[in-house]
Amino acid sequence: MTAAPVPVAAPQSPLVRVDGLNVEFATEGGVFRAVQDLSFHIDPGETLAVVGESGSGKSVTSLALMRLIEFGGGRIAGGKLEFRGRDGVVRDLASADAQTMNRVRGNEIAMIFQEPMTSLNPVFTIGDQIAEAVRLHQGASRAEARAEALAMLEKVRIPGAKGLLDRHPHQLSGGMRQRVMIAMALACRPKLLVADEPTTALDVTIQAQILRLIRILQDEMGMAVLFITHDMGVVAEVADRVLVMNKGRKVEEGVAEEIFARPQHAYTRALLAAVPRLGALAGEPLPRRFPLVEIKEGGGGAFTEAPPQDTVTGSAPVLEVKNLVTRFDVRRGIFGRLSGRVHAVEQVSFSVKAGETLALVGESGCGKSTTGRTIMQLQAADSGQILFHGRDLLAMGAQERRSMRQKIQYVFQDPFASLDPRLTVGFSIAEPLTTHNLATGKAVEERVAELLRDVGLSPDHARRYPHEFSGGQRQRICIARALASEPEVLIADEAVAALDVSIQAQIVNLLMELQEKRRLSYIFISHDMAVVERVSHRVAVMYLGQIVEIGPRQAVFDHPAHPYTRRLMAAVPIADPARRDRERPLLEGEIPSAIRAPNDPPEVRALVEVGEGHFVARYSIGDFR
Amino acid sequence: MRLKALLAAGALSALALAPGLAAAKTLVVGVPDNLTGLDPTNVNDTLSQTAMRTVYQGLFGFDQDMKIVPVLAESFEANDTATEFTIRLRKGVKFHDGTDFNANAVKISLERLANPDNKLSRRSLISMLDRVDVIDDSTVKIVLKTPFGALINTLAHPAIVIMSPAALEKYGKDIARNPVGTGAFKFKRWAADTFEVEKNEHYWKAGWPKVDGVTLRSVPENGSRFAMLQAGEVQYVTLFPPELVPVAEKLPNLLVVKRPSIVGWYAAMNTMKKPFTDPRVRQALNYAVDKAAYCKVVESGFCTPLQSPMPDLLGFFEPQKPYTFDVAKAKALLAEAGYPNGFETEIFALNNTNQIRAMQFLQQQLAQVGVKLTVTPLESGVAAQRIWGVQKPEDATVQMQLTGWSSSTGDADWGLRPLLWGKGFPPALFNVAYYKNDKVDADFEGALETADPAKRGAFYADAQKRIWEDAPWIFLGASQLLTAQSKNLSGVYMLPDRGFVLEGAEFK
Amino acid sequence: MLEYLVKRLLGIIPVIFAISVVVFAFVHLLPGDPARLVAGMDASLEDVAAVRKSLGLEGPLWQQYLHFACNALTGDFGISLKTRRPVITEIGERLMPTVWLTVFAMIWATIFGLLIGVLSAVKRGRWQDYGGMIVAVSGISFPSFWLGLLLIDLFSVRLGWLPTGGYGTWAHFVMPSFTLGLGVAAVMARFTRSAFVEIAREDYVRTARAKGVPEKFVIWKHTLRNALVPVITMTGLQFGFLLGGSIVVETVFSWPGLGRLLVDSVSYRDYPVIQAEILLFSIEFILINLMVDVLYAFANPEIRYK
Repeated sequence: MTAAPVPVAAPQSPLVRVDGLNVEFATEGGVFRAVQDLSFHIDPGETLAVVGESGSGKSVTSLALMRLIEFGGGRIAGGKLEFRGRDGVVRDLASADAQTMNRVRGNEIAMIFQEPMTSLNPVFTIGDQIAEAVRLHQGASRAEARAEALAMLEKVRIPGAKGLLDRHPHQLSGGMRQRVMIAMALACRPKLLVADEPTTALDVTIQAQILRLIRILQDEMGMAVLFITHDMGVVAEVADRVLVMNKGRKVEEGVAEEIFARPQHAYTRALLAAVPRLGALAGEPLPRRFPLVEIKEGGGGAFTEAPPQDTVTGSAPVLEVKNLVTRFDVRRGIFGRLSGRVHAVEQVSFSVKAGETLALVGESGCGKSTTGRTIMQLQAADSGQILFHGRDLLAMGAQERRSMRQKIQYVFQDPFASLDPRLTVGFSIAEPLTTHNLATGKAVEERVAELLRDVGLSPDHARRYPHEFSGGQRQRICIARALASEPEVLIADEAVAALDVSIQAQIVNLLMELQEKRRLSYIFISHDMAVVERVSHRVAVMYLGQIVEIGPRQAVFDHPAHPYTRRLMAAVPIADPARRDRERPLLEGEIPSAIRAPNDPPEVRALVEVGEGHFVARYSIGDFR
Repeated sequence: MRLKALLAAGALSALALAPGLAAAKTLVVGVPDNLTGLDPTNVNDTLSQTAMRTVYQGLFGFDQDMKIVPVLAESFEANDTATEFTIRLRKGVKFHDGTDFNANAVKISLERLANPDNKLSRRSLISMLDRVDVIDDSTVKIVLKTPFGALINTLAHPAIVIMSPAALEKYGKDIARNPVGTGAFKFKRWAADTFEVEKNEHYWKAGWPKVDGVTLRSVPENGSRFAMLQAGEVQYVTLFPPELVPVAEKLPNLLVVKRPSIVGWYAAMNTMKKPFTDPRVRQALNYAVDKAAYCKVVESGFCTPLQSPMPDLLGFFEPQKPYTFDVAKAKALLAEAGYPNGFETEIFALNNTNQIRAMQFLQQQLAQVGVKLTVTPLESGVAAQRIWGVQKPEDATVQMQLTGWSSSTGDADWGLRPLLWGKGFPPALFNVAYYKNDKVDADFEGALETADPAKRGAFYADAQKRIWEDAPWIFLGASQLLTAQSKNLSGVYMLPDRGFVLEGAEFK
Repeated sequence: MLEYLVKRLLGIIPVIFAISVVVFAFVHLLPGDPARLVAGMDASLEDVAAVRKSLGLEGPLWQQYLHFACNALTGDFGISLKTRRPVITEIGERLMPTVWLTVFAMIWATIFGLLIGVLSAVKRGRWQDYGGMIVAVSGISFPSFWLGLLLIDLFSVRLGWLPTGGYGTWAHFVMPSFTLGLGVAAVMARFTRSAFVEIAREDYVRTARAKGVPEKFVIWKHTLRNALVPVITMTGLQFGFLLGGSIVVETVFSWPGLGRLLVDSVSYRDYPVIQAEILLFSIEFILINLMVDVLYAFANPEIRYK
């Protein structure tokens, strides 16, 4: 790897100088200080990444700079937000009037947001929304603005840009929408682009595209970027300088390479340690827990490297899925004419042994979640077999199936939505015990206490309600509830995707610890390749409802045999600025749709063995021929 | 006041067209209902008939006290058997279209109504008509198929009017939209809820009418009608609600007029069903009810207790000895009849406030003598089914029914016969009490066979006495009618049958 | 879009068929003999028979229905029993007063409802919000009967500015359309407010501000356009209800409209008129719903392209 490009030399005066910024929110419990005494600067043309976990104040900072914070109920309680405009005049945005702000916003400072799906106005066309900024700030005529909008769409490399002008946002995919957002933001060639978690909601291959695009446009237009993110991988990919925030305060600031190579502050070190890094287990056959980091006040932390997770026992699979097919009909019109079918799960086969973790990876719409839901029978299968200890769940009577079902449990992505807010945590955990007659009377209480201890909570938490817990704690409760019915198989569907990295590491470790204790089998459904590398013994890569590659984790990660697996791996941002490659070609294209004509099932052929237990599809699927 | 003047004169001159501020020479009357049609021979409601009295006239009419007066007739003679009536007509009268009023016009109008082929709803009034002979230009002889002593009263009925023969010829069936008569006013317009007539310049009564026209506006809401009267948009409103009387009486320019009516209220008892087969029981119930209290409670005091089976304004009325309120006597009679502890029975009526209140009043009164009354308010369809759905008297389920009756001819015949005739059990007529007294039947029939008032009076006096003693009903009261008007209006009065006479309207 | 319209129009046919059956059954389901009820207490047996015939109550049921349906298709709903005029004439005479009253009421109610709703939403939690919502709540809770009489007493009896009722000049419209529209305006205000508050939290509103769109455009263009989507549905429903003729308002203000015609017909048991009115209301309602859906599609592109 070559050394990273030299950061743009800082000219005399910075573009932005934030000095002593304080932001407050009035809440029922009194004034909440979201940002405290924050100072930083941004030089023209550079990328400053602000990184931190949820509640760190990083997004509040970006909204404060745009003076949008007051529309969300916040207030700038002190400090200066100096911005040097195109005219060379330095203004303090913290005290600027509404008119001035309207001239600055969208014109000199533009912003893109996390949720491309909801950040575009659904009732106006793409063209109108881009042109609006041009007309507002440059006084362009309707036709000129439209021409400029088209130029911008072409600039963000949208194929068929002309046809897109008159379309509405709902007709576009998330990646496309984010490109439109960027086009809109850059329409007036701002000096500063504020990007607030712009790729968090996107699939990894699309994220790679957007990150590249921002970088290229930044170079073309010579603008500075304030990049807000929680993802250290993304930081490493984009940042010239990094500012680490925690609980509303600046923890550390510095050149990206320095921060990654020699983090000064304990919090930064902990954060970096928790970040799953793709390739961390290269050459190792077995999964391994995240290194535990204890943050001590006043710096310093201890790393504990965990031993490999050698838990697979027996040769007969606990759960075996054979040729599973799940399809959804798409109906249209008043007579509900069948217009197409979603081939969500197409001839999927795999097996899991006791104590083994099989990861199902892939991007949104690949069918990994539907596979999990079909195994849980939350979704009816069209055909195939689901064998539990050799017995087909789909062929059983309802009674027997119900008793079998308790042996397979599910943990969802959103721990809040899956807990009833009106029930105490203890009641939620006890429910499977009583419904399956696993315990009665006093034994229920004892069992609940034990389960809570198992997942790292205290037994007296049983009397509390879900809203009293943090996201990580709630996910622990969900796991305790799943464990209550003594399952043999646990399906974890993006179970850590919504959590902050440090919490994510803890939950992953908890799952692995439980596996070791109880010899649980996991089906670990995830889009995050780095986490998958940590937890899984074997990996199945799904694409358009099919498994394109399956095998031991080491084999798949070290020697990906299917081009899609390779693309997926290449797209993962690496949390190491030294390894970034800014000259990588810009990827294009979208994930094709799994909807097909009613009687046109996709071709499925047997996978080809390329190594021991390592199988790959060698026929054409979707874009891969 | 200044504002009002300003507005009326100035920018908002459109307001000047509003009825309230229009020339006061046109009389505007607020009525609760809509007209149902303009052909009096083919409408069933008093309002339409009354409205048409401005345009059409009959041979006879009623004065304010329901006494017969000649209108287009001058005098009449009848034969002894009440089958032939010779009528001399007023001369020099013209219809609004210029046609002369004469014997021929009378013949055409009456025979038109009597002809079953014309399917006119009021035909039953003169279904006994055989023919009308033209004696000369101003004399007709009405010949009947059967004796009918009440004919002159019937001819005074607002449905029996004389229409222009030329107009009948010209419009045919459409006469119902184009009335042409001899009245004080000419028809102008009828749309949705407004009926307008204008002055007949050639009216035969010299000097009349005194107003330029009359407009009837249908205003269903009591409060709105009152407001219009206060605002001066109307000068006369009919069926004034009793609860507003105290308010209206305080207003200096308004006048509330109380008029007696021929609407009698009673509770019929099914005389073919036990315990009502025993006249002592029926009398006992009459003694058990305080009629004065009835008027106060149910009719807000605007009512007089019945003194005979029919209201006092009907011809041949004879007052009877009242059943004075006497609980002890009632109990004694019940004990005598074998019901010392009373009995249980049921009463039904329509489900409107007034009738429910009346039934509850009876329930409370009869409870004092041990009679347990179940009150059943019925939707009118269900009520009708209970009355008319019966083909044979023994199938009737009616025990008691509360209802009211108004004799539209103002005559004793229609005031008693439909309700108490032995040949009038439902579904033929309305004898819900299933009352049959051969002597009374003979009285009814005898009275129809003569036109001699003295003889008829004797028949009806006998009938009233017998019915009163037999007590097939609990006799309750006769409602009074309330109207309100501007003080500067005179000459408009309400008739006991709820019709009103507008011809003499005059503003002071 | 055209295909959508045609589909929706075709979809109406079975609905109208169902309604016609219900309307037809209505006369046959009533207790008692409708002919006797119509003819009245003192009618002779032959009169009753004649009425039965004129009501089309003879012959087997299916035949009666066919007769009714075929006539109805040609706009012939028979003759009003009360006025003996064709039902279609009766209804025709009262349709326009009701339509105009409804239109005026809806226009002012929509304008004021939207304004109050937006004002309340923008000034959320401040006095303008509380003021607006107090007006809205009272608007909903005012019985229009009482309000109508109150207005008459004030503006006609005491001040003499406006006629108490009737149909004629624009002055006649003022109080009835106000009374009729008040409830609608109130519902509209509340609805607009909640829709607006919800939309104001949307990410794309923040996007608009981030673009430098001035606040008034953020409110009236970006936010309101989206808030209108649910409001349109509500407006359509209200319009449908009002077009049935407001019985109370038409009664208080002696308005010669469909609502009063219905009351009169019901109390007189004028079955042909009742049947025709119910059929008319149903069809009106269906058509308005269709209109709303079309408008909705214009306001909401996600539906337009489905």
